[in-house]
Order: sequence, then C-alpha cells, then structure tokens
Amino acid sequence: MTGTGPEDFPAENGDGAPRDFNAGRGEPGAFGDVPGDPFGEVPGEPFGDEPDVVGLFRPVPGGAACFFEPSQARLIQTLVGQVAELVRSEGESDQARQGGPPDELEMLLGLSGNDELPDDPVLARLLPDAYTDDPEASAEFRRYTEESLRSAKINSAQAVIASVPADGGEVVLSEAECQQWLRSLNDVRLAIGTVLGITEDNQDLMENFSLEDPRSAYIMAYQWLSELQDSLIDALA
Amino acid sequence: MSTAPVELEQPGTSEDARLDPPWITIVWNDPINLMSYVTYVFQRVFGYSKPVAEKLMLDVHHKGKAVVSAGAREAMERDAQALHGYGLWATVSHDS
Repeated sequence: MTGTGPEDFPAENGDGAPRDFNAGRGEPGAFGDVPGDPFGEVPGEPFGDEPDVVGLFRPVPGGAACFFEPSQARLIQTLVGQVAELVRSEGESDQARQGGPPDELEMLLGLSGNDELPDDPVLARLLPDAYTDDPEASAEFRRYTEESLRSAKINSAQAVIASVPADGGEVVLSEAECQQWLRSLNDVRLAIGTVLGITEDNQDLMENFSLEDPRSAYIMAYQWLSELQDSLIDALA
Repeated sequence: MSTAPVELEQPGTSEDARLDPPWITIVWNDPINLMSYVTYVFQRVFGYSKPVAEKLMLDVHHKGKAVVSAGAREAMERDAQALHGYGLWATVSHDS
C-alpha cells in the first residue's frame, strides 16, 4: 500500500516504455493515446497552486464535487475508457476462445465461461483469484463471480465517463456516484501501477523521473489520480 | 499457507464461527492501493469503525496480509467478491 504524497515515493530509474493496456490485441485506444500533458502548463508541479480548487474533490451536501480542467477531463475519460475496454474485450474473447456461441443458460445466470486467471497482468490484477491454495475453488469462484465483477467495473467506468464534461468543468457527484468513481479511479490506478511495475521498493520512480522518460505522462497521471482518489475519500469522511 | 499469526481477535467473528475452524478472508498487501482507500473500504464493506479498519489496514501494510473477516465459507466468498469489486486483493482460506 502507499500514501499519496511525493514523500512516499523515494528514487529509481526504471526501464522501457509503459505497455499498452491493450497491447497485442489490435485494439484502438492504446495506452500511448493519453492526451497531452494532463496538468496544463505546470509540468513538475502537477497540482498547481490551488489544489483545493482544481482537480481535487471537496465535500458538498450529499456527495462530493470537483472542478476539472479540460485536459484533466480528457485524461479521465481516456484512461477510464481504456480500462473499461480492456475489461470488456477480454470477456468477449474468452467466449470466442471457447468456440461456438456463448451458453445461453450461463448468460442468463450471469456465469462466466471463463475459469482461469487472465494472462494479462492488468486483468489478472483487476480480476484476481479468490484462493491461493485451491485452483479448483478459484475456478469455481471465478465462474460464478467474474462476469458480474466485469459488469460492475464497466458500469462504474461508464458512469464516470458520463459524468465528466468533455471540455472540463464542475462535476457534482451523489454518494452513490462517489462509490462508482472510487472504484473506477482505483481500477485505473491498478492498471497504470501494474503496467509501470510499481512495487513497494521502487516507489521512488514516482518522485525522480525525467520528463523525457516515455513513462512520465503516466507517472504524472498516476500521481494525480492518487491525489484525486484521496481527496474523494476525504470528501466522503 | 500459514494464517495463524494474523489477527486472532476478529472483529465480526461470531461465537458460532469459533466452534468450527472458520473460513477466513485475507487481504494481501499491494503497492498500489492507497492506505486511506483500504481503510475506507474496510469500513464500507464490513462496517468496521475507523480505528479497527485502520489497524487492519496497517496489519496488511506491515505484515503483508491480514484476516479481515471469518465465518462461513459462503460469507467469506461474498466478502472476497465485495473486496474485489473495490480492487483489493482478497482471498478465501480455511483457517485450519
């Protein structure tokens, strides 16, 4: 686990560019498509001078609110959309891999034909095994729960995307919407963190990185999303 | 997997659950989830007070894992499912 402040991310240079969430699938919406610098004109000072005003949540009666810059709104929509696409597309390919049409009864019951931990490390993190020592129980659990877990993630992502004006602006969330945002922001952080290979021991990557590092846009996005999620938790307290 | 050292006094453990070796839900440490978020999720999913949730969060953080609930297997699977919904890495295990 980690805190959100830069002090929690002491130093290292990693290697290689961030991998596309959808690498190898020929999907659009690659990890490399994040639009521009999410933090406007203050690279290296991601949160600007007034972090309480722009790009962070504050409590309002019945929920939380946040004003997003256009670049922040686009970043949220892009990243949340990519994760939703990954969760959705892999589900479809699982059925295709089994051959033949999806089992109607299974669909009716919300069961998944899939019973294995996904190969993709991001999906494996988003849809983890429920047993460490019992593969059969893990498979059974997955058959009964994975489809609803995928659906919940996709629903939350769609709710987030729908609530952000494309050109930025004020977003006011109900308590229920805050829950969807929390989950969806966390899914994106899990995805980026997994792709960046963030571990307990290399959190320094977060603090000491070069803007020429091909991963810098994702590192800054990750940092901001962490602050954003933390501000939402504070707003709900 | 050894589960013995973590959290013998379980919040939410009923008398019934102690008669048989209960099933348990374990949350594992990970480098991405925020400490504030994990604490929040424990409060939200289990209804634990903030001090209890924070203690469990710190156990996860420092010991690598913590038992967050104990009881019938079906209930533990529901807990794991709820925790997966929040992106926590939770597993079910028999506390034998």
